[in-house]
Amino acid sequence: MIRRYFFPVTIGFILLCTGCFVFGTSKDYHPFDPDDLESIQPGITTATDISGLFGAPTSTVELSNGNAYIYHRSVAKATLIWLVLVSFANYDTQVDQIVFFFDKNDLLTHYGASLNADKAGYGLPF
Amino acid sequence: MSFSGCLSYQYERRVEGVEIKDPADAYSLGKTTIGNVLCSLGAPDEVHSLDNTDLLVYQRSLFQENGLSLGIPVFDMATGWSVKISAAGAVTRYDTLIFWFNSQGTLQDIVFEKASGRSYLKTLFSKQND
Repeated sequence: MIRRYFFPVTIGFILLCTGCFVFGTSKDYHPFDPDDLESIQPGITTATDISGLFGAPTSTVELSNGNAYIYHRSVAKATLIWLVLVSFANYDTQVDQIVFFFDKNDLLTHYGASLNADKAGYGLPF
Repeated sequence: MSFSGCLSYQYERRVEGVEIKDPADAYSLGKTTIGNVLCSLGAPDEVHSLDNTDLLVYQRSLFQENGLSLGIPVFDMATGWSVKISAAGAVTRYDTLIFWFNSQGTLQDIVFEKASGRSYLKTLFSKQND
């Protein structure tokens, strides 16, 4: 009985598992230099200094008492699985982001950095 | 292989951002400053200004889509027409933490919502005003 069904079941299982895996990475990214971050001092560093170190900000926001410069870098990793009857896709996007806050005299008041781009990973979507 | 194209199921998941934890009582209205929040949470995902209020927004999004397709391609060859039925449901849920600061940089209000913990199916089939 087992022998009778073993071959067709095995062939059926192999056919159902026929497919492909795809791994992809999309980068809008180059890393921030840690030395540049260490040289920054609230109360001393100016908006011009920040632009000189990091280049043009990704975006700027006018605040109630100054401005914010936002620097954004992202990494996205995709895992795709195509089988005969089912397909799965998983996308993980993580960012490196630094936001600098300036007063009305363009003097740095404080800043925050979130460096998570290296946490983007491949994986199953479950 | 005759099944391929007849019945198929697709599942897609997209995550953007790191997990956002419930701030609970970690911040005090009227005392916590922008600097305190930046030190503990890092850079916000978004910064906005409303009137004399500045907003720091921390956000993580979770997108999920399930799809089911049924087609009978053999009709294409025999009669020139075919039957194809497909259904898909997509939901994006956001975990959001928003801080409101006054022009002096002191915390005025805080809002936290963890929507990713909600059921996919309940969210998909819930009415808009739920």
